[in-house]
Amino acid sequence: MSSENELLIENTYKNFGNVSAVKNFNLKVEDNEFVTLLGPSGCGKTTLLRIIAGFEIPDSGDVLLNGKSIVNIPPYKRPLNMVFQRYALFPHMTVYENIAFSQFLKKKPKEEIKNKVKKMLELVQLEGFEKRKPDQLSGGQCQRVALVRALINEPKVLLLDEPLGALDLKIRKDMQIEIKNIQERLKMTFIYVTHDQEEAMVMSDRIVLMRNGEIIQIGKPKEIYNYPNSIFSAKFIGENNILDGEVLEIKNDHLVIDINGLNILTNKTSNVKIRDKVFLAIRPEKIKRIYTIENKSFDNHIVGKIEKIVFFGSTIKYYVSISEEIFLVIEEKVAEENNKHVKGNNIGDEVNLRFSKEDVDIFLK
Amino acid sequence: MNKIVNRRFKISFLDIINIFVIIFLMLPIMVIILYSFSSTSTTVFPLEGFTMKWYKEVLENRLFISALKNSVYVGILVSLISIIIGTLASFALTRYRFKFKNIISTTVLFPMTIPAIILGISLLSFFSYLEIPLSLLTVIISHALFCIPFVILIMNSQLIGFDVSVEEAAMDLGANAIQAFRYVIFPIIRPSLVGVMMITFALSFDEFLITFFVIGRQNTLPIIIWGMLRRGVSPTINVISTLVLVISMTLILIVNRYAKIKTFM
Repeated sequence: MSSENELLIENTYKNFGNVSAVKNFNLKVEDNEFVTLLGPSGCGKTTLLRIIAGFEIPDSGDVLLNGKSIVNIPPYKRPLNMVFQRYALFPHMTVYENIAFSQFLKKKPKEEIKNKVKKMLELVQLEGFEKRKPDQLSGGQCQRVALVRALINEPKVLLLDEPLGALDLKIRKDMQIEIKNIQERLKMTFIYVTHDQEEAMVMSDRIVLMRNGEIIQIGKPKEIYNYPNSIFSAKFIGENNILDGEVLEIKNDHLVIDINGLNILTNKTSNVKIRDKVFLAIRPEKIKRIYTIENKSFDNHIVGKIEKIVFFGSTIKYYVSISEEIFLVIEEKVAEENNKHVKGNNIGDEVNLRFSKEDVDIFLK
Repeated sequence: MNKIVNRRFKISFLDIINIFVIIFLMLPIMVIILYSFSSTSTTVFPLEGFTMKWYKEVLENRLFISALKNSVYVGILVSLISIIIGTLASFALTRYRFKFKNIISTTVLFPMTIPAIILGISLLSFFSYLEIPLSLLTVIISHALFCIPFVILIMNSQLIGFDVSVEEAAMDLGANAIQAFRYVIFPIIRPSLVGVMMITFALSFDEFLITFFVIGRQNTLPIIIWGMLRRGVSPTINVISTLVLVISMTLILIVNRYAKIKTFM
């Protein structure tokens, strides 16, 4: 069943000299979907976006829009539009001319262009800015203009290449929500590139996590966060305590992992043998500091010493040393932190840490 | 600028030095302008009277008028040819990757570094070897040869700073290569192109050494001036020099007013 505006990327490869930027890439993007290509810089996400836009030609593979190959169509004929990293507004044109450019090239009647531009400016709350030049706009305003300049063309798929990378944090957070709202309102397919995992989590329907030109994991933000399929996913998405250990025992319902003498219980996984080297990943918010030992639901009990406390507003982080080599980060809601039962709220205090074996992700080395 | 205005006016040692340097540079030029109005035919001090007769004489001189025409004609053609070739070369050198790019990007600047007299001699033997008769055409070719490196240098600095994604954005929004150039690239680089045009025109307009080797029967202005000088300094030369100066200054003013070249070498 092929829905409308379905974008398909098949077995795509792209090399630059000896460096392979995109390797055996397969992805299907559904209509109205917000998909984020996420990965560290140099992972090939921008190259892939440029292949979709037509600025790079893949060495092999195919890009299909509604079942038709578009790899041989030049960028100016593709029914896709792109928002560039550094806005790429035309410096000699006014805001109006920038937005109207694609419609002007399509030889639309002047009256129609005027109405469309007006609607677009309303969409991003920039009414009254028509006559300004890009150098008279702030970064956030520039990005809004760049966004509607692409949207006015009614692209089948909108490609966004780290559009918020140049903005400061506050404006970036606002723009994330704004872009997401626009996407939902216009019911358009967005493919978004970023290296900021938080941004990806906030905006995406699905995240495509990439490394070295390959897909590591595809899934909804929640899925990737809760069930990372690799140590790379676990490290890249969200914060994680990564521990380096060895399988000590395999019991009926759990494993015992030895981390430099510290034993941690984890869920059983089928693919490990005794003495296998493994990584453990535990989310900071899954580790609890609970005083009452009666609570049996936690399988792991560790004692540590608070080394550092960092206040983040709604949350607070404790940096706890378990031994010379082992450190854990614990994150708590500030409301929890006021819990009177908790012993040890100062640097140097001893704390009891609890977490269940389900909350430990285990990855073979 | 505001800062300077707000500062209290004070003459420092450096200012005095500056004033002397400016006087030193400007004095010979002022002398020429001054004596172009002198009523005596010899350059004597102090000036004996004011007259415009030398101007009249120059402007009625057919030799001078035809030389001026020739110089303008050569200047315009040189400027057009070197802009087209130089800008295209600069696009190639800044945008594309190809074999021997480094070697090529330095060799294209050679004509600028070779002494004019050597360039003149080699061009002369080149033309006679190919049996091309010396004429204004050979002058144009020769001038374009040393003007192109200037164009490449200036356009390189413009195009290196040119954000390619702006061009890509144009193509993404539906502009083919020609439309992207017409509506986006050209308007952005236009100030540089105007500047380069003026500069190449000025370079060609007062070029003497190379021209001297490759000129045919028709003369350009610098050649006429040189010919006249051999027969002694006449006030008409002062007039011609003043006129050349005025033309060059006007060009520079136009460039400064409209072109705003930010990075010139």
